[in-house]
Amino acid sequence: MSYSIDEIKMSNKIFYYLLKHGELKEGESELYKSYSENENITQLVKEQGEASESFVKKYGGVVYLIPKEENDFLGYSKAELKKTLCKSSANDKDYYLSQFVILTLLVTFYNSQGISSKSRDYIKIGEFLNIISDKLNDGVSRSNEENSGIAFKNILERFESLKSSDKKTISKTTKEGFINTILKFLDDQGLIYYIQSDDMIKTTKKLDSFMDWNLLNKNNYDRVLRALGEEVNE
Amino acid sequence: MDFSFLDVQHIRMKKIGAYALLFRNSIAKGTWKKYGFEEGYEQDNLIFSVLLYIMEQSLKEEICTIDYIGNFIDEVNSLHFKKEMTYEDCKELAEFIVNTILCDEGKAMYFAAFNFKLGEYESLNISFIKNKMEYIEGVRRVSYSLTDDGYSLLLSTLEIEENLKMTIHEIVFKMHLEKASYDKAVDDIKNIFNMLRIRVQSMEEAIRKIKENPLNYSTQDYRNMMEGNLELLKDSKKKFTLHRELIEEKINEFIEKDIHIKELNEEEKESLNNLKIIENYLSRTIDEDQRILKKHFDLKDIYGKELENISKMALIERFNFKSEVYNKILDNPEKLDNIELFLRPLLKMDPRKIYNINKALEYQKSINEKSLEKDEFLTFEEGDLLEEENKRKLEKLEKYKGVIEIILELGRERGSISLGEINSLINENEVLMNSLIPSIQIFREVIIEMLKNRIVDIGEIKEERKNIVESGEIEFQLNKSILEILDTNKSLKRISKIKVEKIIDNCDVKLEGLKDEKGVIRNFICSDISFEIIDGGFKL
Repeated sequence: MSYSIDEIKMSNKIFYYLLKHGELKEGESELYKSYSENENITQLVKEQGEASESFVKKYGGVVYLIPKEENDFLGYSKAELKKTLCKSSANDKDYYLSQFVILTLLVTFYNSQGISSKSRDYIKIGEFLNIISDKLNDGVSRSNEENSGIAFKNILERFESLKSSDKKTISKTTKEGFINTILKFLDDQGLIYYIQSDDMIKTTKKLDSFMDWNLLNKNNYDRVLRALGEEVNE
Repeated sequence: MDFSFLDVQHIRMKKIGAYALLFRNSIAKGTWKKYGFEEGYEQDNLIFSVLLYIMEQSLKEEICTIDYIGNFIDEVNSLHFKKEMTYEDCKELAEFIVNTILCDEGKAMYFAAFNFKLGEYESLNISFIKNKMEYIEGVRRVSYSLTDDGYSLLLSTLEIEENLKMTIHEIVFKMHLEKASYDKAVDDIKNIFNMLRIRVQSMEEAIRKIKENPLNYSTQDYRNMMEGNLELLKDSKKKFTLHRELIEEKINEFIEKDIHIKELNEEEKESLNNLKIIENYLSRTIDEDQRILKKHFDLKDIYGKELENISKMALIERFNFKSEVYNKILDNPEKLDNIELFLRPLLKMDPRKIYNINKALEYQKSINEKSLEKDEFLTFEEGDLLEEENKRKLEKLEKYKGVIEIILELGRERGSISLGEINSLINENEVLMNSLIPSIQIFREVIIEMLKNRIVDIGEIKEERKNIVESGEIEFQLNKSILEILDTNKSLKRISKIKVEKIIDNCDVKLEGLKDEKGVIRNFICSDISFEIIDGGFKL
């Protein structure tokens, strides 16, 4: 197969745009059109993605650049994630708590087996805090924690030791503050709308698409097994 | 026995389900008692008035936040219900009604309706209001509006079924016109207008739904919408235009009468007034009719396109998030260790920056005190104050521009002006003073920047700015501000050069009664300065 120099130039432009913005929408008409209508360009951009340890995928009319799991340059490594989510003096408990919070947020929103996995429209911060508490308690009673390194008991203690406050605060010693950092991060990543004046979390179309077509996709089930440290059946 | 009368039960149940869910969400909630709404009927009345308020706002296509709803409850309460509630209580009650009763905390609401044709229960999704993020004065807020279900619930309390409804309203409207009961005809035409607007909104809603997930929008919905539109649009424009002509004729009759008799009695005056309202609404109705036509084609386009997009995806199967992931973690927290692997596709890092050593050779501008101050602010307050901070910066920037604009205007009128002359002008005029010297710091900074430049050649800086990449930061730059002023203020367009110099021979100028940033009043002594404005030739 042969490619023209114009196609290669255009694909480079598109890939650079993706690097910069993470996604390509219809509004960028020239780039978007080239990607969608010229198969050669689609192919070239996907190849560039492959060479950069990423996927280039189009979900619901938007082209996304998605770092592969092992990509520590474009993706977040565990250490960087910890640094971002928990700030300086954090210990492992904080980190696991933050992971648990994100996971709980996702499972609360995407627990439907219908046409889409999305099961609710929004959640209020107060309710979300309660859900986290409940689920941590649930975890304590369900898990057998005698010999394990990570224990829900510790994580729950960490969470409950954060003060609860009626007032909106961003101090990290309160539950609201701790959650605030995480939600801000997810908002910056374009995954949720965190509307502080109304204490509300809504999900973006990006997150909806990613959950439906990528994270919960049966074809990507191996990733779950690896993340959970289970055997992968090839 | 023939049970065919039960065939459409599940369709009827959608309406019933709406009521049922609404009352189920409200009944036995202790919160009501807190605000003194003890009886069920009191609660139901308030719920529906709130819904009607949201409908009113939706129809006007205006923003409707919790604060608005709180205000509404506050007003209604002080006028009618007279419960002992403070304004804060009203806001909390609004939050409770919207969040708990109308939205069920954001969970999707379902009502099971028995389908006698299939012999099983069908889950019907029902939602009354939807919400959207809006920026109000730069702050993110949630604004509520009615969904299709919400409209249909409210309309069914007074009005009738969709397409049929239009025709009936029209017939009534015509009847009222014929009988010359114009006050009633006003209501009719308002109803017709509202109905068209609801149609437009429901198409917008359909477009939104389709964009979110085309599979959520069934082909049946699509068909109903499309056929309904065509039905509605058929000769509607012709009809409304005819109506309008008729009304114009009637108005003219009145006006002629006015000329002849000079005096209309009260009743006639009111009729004339009503006729004018009707005419106004008819024109708007015709506009709305056009909007429907446009949206009709939009919807068609989008549905086709999104279906094409999704067709590749539709075959993807999903595993159960809860049982396959979440519950496994609840059973064994060890598994949290590497869970970030699962989340990785969601997150993208900003690539590391690479330093270009050539930057070191560029002309270095001193970072002034102010921006240092602001940097500090951000580091401990995090980004959430950023929006507010930017707003404040913009306001300040406007003040800077105000100062420059006034100097330029004053200078241009006279060719040149000195600070001493300006001083005597502002002593007479307080308004001028406030906009020329909003605070000493701002005024000083502008003058210092101008003195630093001495001569500003508009042509030159225009050329210069073409090659500059905007940093996007909001800070005061003299050249940029001057260009912006020249762009917006037509009387200053022809300025080609601005010269600013100290006048060494003159004695010092004493500016009196100036405010500094904290609002403390101080005097200010400085050397005299001249501002010379040179106009260029005519520009094309």
